[in-house]
Amino acid sequence: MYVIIVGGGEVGYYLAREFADGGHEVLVIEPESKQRERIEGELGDITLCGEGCRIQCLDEAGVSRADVFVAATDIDEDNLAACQLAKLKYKVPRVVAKLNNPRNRNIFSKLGIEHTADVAALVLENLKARIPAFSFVHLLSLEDVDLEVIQVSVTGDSRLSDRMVAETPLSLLVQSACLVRAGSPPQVVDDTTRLAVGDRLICMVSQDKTDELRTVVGGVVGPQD
Amino acid sequence: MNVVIMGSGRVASELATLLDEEGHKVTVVGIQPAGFDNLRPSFGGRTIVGDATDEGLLQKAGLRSADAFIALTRDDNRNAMAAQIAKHVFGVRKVMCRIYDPLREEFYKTLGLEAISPIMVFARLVKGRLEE
Repeated sequence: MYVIIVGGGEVGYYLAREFADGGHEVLVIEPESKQRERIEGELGDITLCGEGCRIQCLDEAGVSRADVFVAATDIDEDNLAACQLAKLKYKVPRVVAKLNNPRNRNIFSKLGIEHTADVAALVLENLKARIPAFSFVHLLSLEDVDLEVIQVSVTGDSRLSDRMVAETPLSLLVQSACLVRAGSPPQVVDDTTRLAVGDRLICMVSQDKTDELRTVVGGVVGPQD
Repeated sequence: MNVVIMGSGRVASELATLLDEEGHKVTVVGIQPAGFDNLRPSFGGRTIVGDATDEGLLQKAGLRSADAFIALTRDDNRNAMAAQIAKHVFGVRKVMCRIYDPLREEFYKTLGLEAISPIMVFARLVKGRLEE
C-alpha cells in the first residue's frame, strides 16, 4: 500500500514507523525540518517538506495513487482541509483524520470525513478501562460495520450480578460478547451464562444501542462500591 | 440583514463598519480581543471573543438566525472549516470565505462554497487596468 501521512509529530512518526515496518510505501508530509530529520534518521528518505493542505505539495506527493491518507497534525482545521482534498479531489479510497477537539467529530462527519480518531477520547477511555470504578468503557468504534466495542464491568449495585444473561437487558442490547473473569480463560457469552461481581464483558454493540446500554449498566459506580 | 463576520483583521473590520453604517445587524467573532481595535470607533455592532470553528461559539454568535456568514481570518483552513459549518450545520443562506491560495479557491468552489481569493481579485484588477 502507498500510505501518505500529513504531520510528522508523535502520531505521524509512530504511524509511519509501523507502516514502514510492515513493508508499505510511506510518505510523511511535514514542514518542520526538525521533525523530518527525526523520521529520516530512523526510517530513511520518506519525508516531503511541505503542507498537506497545499495542492502543489499533494501533487508532488502523488496523492492520486495513494491507498491510505492520514491527516495527523495537531490542528483540526488543517486535518479537515487535507482530508477533504485527498478524498474529494484525489479520490483516495481510505482517508482518516486525527481529531484534536472531540467536539469536531460530528462536524467532520457532516463534511464528508467519516473516519476520525479522537485522541482525547481514546486517552480518556484507555484510562477508564484501567479503573474499576467505570462500569461502561467505550473501547473502539468500527464505523464501517456500525459497531461499538464496549467493556462492561459487573458491579454489586448493577442489574447484572447473579443473573443469567437472558434475565438482563444485555440479551437485547448486545450482539455478542466475550466474558473475561479472573482465573478463567475468556469465554463467549450465551443466554445461560451467569454473571458475577467482578466479571468483565467485552461487548459488540450496534451504535444506536450504545446510549441505552450505558444507561443500563451505569457509567460510573458510586463511592459505596 | 443579520451578518456574522469571522475575523478581526482590517478587511473584516472595514466590512463590519460598512455594514453597520448601512443599518445591518453585525456580529464580529475574533479570536484575539486586541483585533477589535481595528474596528472604527463608530461601530455599533456586537463583538464576541472566541474561535469561530467551534460549533458552540457559532451558536452563541447567533448563526441560527443569521442571513450571512463571512469568514475573513488570515488562515485559509480556518475560513474553509467555519464556512462549511455555517453552511452545512447551521444552514446559513449566504456564506462566503476568503481563501488566499488560488488553487484551493477553485477546490472549495467545487464543494459549493463561495470562496474568494484576494490574490486573484487583485491580480485580475491590475491586469484589467493594464489593458485599459
